[in-house]
Amino acid sequence: MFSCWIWMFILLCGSSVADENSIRDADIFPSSPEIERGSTLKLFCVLGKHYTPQRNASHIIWKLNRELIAQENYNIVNETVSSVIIHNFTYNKAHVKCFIKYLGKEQLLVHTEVKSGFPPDTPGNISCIYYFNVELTCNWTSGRETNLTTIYTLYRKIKNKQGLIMPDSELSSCRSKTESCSFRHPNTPFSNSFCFQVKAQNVLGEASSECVPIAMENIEKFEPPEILSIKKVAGIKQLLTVTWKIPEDIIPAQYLNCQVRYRNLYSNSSEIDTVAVTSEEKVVSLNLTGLWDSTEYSVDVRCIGVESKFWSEWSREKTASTEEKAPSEKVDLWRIIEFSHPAGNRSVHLIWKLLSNIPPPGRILGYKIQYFPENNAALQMTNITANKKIVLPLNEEAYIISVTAYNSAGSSPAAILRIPSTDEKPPEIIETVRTYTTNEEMIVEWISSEPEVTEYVVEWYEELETDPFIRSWQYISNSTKWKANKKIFKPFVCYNMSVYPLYGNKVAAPYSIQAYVQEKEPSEGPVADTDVLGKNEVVIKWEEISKDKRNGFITNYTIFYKPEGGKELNEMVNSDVLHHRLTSLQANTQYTVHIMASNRAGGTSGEPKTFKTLKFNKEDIIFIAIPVGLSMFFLLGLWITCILKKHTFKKVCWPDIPNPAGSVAVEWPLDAPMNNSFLKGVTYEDKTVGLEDVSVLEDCFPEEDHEGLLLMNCEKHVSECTDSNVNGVQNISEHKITLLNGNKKILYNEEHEVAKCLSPSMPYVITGEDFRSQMHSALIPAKKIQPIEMLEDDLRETQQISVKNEKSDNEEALKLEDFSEKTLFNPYLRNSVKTREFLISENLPEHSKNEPKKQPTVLPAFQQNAVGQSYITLDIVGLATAH
Amino acid sequence: MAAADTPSATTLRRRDLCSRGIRLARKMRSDVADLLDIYVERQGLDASVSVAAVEGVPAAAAEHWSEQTGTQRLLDNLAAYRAFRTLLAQMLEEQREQLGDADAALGRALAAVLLQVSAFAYHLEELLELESRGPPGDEGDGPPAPPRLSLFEQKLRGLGVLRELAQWAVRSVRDLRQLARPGPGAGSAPGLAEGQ
Repeated sequence: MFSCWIWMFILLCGSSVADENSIRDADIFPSSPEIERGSTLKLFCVLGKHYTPQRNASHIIWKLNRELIAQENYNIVNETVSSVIIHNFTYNKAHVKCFIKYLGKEQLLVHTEVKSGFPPDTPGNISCIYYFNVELTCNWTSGRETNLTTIYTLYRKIKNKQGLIMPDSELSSCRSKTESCSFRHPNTPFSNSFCFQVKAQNVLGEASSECVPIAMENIEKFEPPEILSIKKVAGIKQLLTVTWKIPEDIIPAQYLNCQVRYRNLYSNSSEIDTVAVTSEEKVVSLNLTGLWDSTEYSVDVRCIGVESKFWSEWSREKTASTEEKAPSEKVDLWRIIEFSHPAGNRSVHLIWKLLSNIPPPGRILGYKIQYFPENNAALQMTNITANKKIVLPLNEEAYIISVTAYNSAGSSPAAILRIPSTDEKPPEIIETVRTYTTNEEMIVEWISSEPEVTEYVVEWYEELETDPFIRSWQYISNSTKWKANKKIFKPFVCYNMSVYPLYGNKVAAPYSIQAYVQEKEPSEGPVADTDVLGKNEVVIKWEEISKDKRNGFITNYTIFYKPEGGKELNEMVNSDVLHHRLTSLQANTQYTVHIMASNRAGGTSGEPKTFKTLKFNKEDIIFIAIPVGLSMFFLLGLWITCILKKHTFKKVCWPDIPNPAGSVAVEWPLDAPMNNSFLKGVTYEDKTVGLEDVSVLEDCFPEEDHEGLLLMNCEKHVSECTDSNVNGVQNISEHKITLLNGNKKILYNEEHEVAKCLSPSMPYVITGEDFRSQMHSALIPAKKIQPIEMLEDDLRETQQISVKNEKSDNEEALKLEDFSEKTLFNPYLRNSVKTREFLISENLPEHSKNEPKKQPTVLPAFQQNAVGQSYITLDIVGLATAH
Repeated sequence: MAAADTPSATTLRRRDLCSRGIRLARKMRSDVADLLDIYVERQGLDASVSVAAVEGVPAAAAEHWSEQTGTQRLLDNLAAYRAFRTLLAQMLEEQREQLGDADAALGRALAAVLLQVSAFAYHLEELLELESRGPPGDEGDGPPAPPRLSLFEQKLRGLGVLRELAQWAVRSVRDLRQLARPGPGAGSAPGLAEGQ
C-alpha cells in the first residue's frame, strides 16, 4: 500500500514534468517491471498533454498481450493518468499495452514488458578449480530458475580461527549472471585459508551460500607435461626410456604423481605406469620395460598434485619402436600357377604374408626368394624383393621354392613350397565342397577321400578378378571346415572358392565352387527379343545378364507377356534356358513381353519388348495362294487362247472396216492435188507466215482455253453428231458459205458451230495459215473426200478466188503436192483430234484484226478454215462410205 | 587442541602446516618478484636504485638466525607480515589515489600479494597455536603512520616494502623448513623444499 502511494507520488510528479517538457504521446510506469510470480501488478499510463482536453484518462484502455483487460481493473487517477491492476500475474513474460480509444478507434500509446519470477534460491554445490597462475574458476548451482535477472557474486574470503575476514570486497569477489565466475591472474593468490561464498540477488531478494573452505592444493590443475623424448637403449631389448618435462606453473614444493601411458600400436593394447615426482624435478625419466620386440609404442603422460583431485590433461603423444629381432615365424606362402606358355614354360605367381605372430617381426626390410629344380639343387636362383609377391618364370620341371623375410636383426625361417612339373597329374582328394553362411560367418566345408591328409589351403577370390596376386588364402590344419568372418567378403559378389589338400610338400588337385556371402536381386533384367514370329506363337529369346550385375545365382527366368489391353500372363523357365516359345497367342495382336531374372534374393525385370503376332501363318498363306494361283493360271490360259484365236475374235468382235481408198463408190480425182486451190491458198498464206512457224500455235493455245473447252465440247457434239447423215455434212457447207460473208466474230463462232458437228468420225477440214503440218494431215482426207459435194463446192470456190495467185504459188504448191502425196499412205487420222485442238490460235484474232481487208477476197475460205480448220478423217470417210 | 593431539600427530600437523607454509611463501615470493617488475615499470623507477630501510619493517636479515627457536622465528615472521599487511594496504590506497582505476593491473597484483600476505600471517598464527603459544595480539595499528611523503618518496618507499617482502618470503621458507625438522621447535622438513 505504501509502495502504491510512493508510485502515485512519483507519477504525479512525473506526469507534471512530462506535461511540461515531454513531447511523448504517453508514458508508462513502472517501466519493464519484474514482479514475483502470482503477485499483483499495477501500472500507470500517463497521457500526453496534447491529447487534452479532447481526450483524457477515461479514454485509456489496457491490454495484456492482445487481450483487453476488463474495465473494472482500471482506475482514473486524474485527467491524464490511468492505472490498471492485474491480479495473480503468472506470465513468465508479457506485454502490457496502453491504448487510447476515441471515436471507436484504438491507438497504441505505450507498452512495457513485464516479467514475473521468483526470488533466488541459496546457491549450493560450490566447486572451484585452480589453474596455477592462470585463473581460479568456481561453479555452483543456483537452484530454481528465477526467470528474472539474477546476479551472482562469488566472494573469496580468508577463514581463520577468529572467523571470516573479507580482505577487499572488490578484489576478492567477482560477479556473474551465470553459475560460474573466475578470478584471473594475477588476482589468483595462493592460500590454504580461503573459503568461497556465493550470493544470488535479484529484485525479489537475495540468498547467500555458506563460505565453503577450499584448499588450493586440492583444486589445482596444471598444464599437461611435455614429452621430451622416447628412446630405445642400444643392446637392451623390450625397453623404452621416456623423458618428460614438468610444467613450470605449478604450486611449488609439492609432490606429484605422473602417469605414463604406453600403447602397443601392433596389438592396440595400453598399459599405464605411475611414478611419484616432486614439483622441483623439472625433467623426469622413466624406463618402460617388458615391451614387445620390434614394436612401435605410443606414449603420453599426465600429472597431478598429490593433494589435488584434478589430473592434468594427457600430453601430446609420441611414438617409438623397441629394438628389433629376427622374425621368428616363417611367412605364409602360396602360389598360383599359370599354364599359358608353350613348350612347358609357365609363370608361377608367388604371394605371401606375414603371420600375425607375437611379438611382431619388426620392420621387414625385404624378402629373399630361392628356387631350384627339384632334381638339381645346384641350379638355385635367388631373388630379393620388398614386395609380398613375385612372378617366377619356370620351365616344365618340378621346383622347390623357399621364401624368407628379413629385418635388421636377421631372417625368418624359410617357407617352402613345391611347384609340380607340368606332366604331373595331382591326385583328386576332395570329394565335395559346400559353403553356407551364418549370421556372422562364411563357412566352407569339404569331404576328403584321404583321411591322412590333414592340411589344406582354402583359396578365394572374386570371380571377375583376373589378377592372380589379388587372391586370398588360408592354411587349415586338422579340420575340414573353414570359418571366416563375413566382413572379409564383399556382399553381392561371386567368389571362386577352392580347397587344396596338402600332403608332404605337394599340393593335390583343388576342388572349386562359387559362392555369394550375400545376395540381392539382379541390378538389371534381361533384354527380351523376339524370334520366329507367328500367328499364334512367338519365340522369345534373351541373353544372360552380365556377371557383375547378377548379385547372386540366377535361379530362373520368368517371361511376362500381355496382349494390348489384356491380362498379363507369365511363364517361368530354368536359369539355363535363354529362349522360350510362347503359344496360344492371339493373331494380329500386339503383345508386350519382358523377362525377369531371379535369384534367391529377388527378381529384376528387363526392358519390355513389343511385338505383334502375324495375321496369317504359313498354312493360311498356302490356302490363299493356291486358289489365287489357279485363277491366275486360268486367266493366263485364257489370255493365250485369246492371242492364238485373235483373228477369230477380231472378226467376231471388231470386223475389218473397208479402206475408203479402196472404195469404188466414188472416183477420186487424181489431179486434185495439182489443182487444189485449197493447197494453193495455204501456200499463199504461207508466204507471209512461213512454213516453219507451226509451233506458234502451241504458244497461242493456252491463252484460248475457252476455245479449247469449246473444242472439247465440240468433241462431245461430234459424238452426238456421229449419227448425223449426209445432210449434216451439207449443213456444214451451208455454214461455211455464210461465214464467208459474215464478220470476223461471226466467222469465228460459226466455225465452232461447224466444229461441233465435226467429229473424229466425221469428215471435217482444218486449215490455217500457221498450220501446215496439220493441214497436210487434213488435206489428204480432204482430197479424198471428193465425193462429198459440199466440200467440193467449197474447194471450187476457193480455187476460183485464188486463181490470181496460182502462178506465184506454183512452186510451193508442188512441194505441198509431194508432201500430200506422201501422206496418202496414212489415210486414218484418228489422232488428228489432237491436232484439231491446236486450231485455236492466238494468232487467229490478230489475223482477223490485221488482215480482214487484205484477204477477204483472196482467201475467204482459208480465212474461215484457219479457224475451223477443215480436214477429213477416215472415220467420216467410213461413215460417208457407209452412207 | 594441540594438547589433545598425540605428539606424533602434532608433528605431522606441524610438518603439514610447514609444508603448506613453504608453498605459500614460495608462491608469495614468486608473485612479489612479478609485482616488483610491474611496480618498477609502472612507477617509472630504476630497478637498480638503492632504497633505504623502510621504517617499521623488521629486517629479514638476522645475525643469529640459526640460534633462534622455532617460536621466535614464527613470531618474527608474524610481526613482519602483519607490518607488510599494513604497508601494502597503504600502498594500495596510495596507488588508487594516484592512478585511480587507470592501472588496474598493478592494483590487482598489489591486492593479490596483500591477500597472500594476510593469508600467510593467518597461517603463521595457526603454526604458533600449534607451538602451544597463541599469537600475540594484533593491535591493528602496525607500523606507525608514515610522515607525509612526496609522490616520489612514496614510490621509493613502496619499492623498499616490496623488496623487503621478497627477502622475507625467502627467509620464511628457510624458517619453516627449519621448523619442520625433528626436534623441539624444529623438525625435519621433507626434502621436497630443500632446494630453496
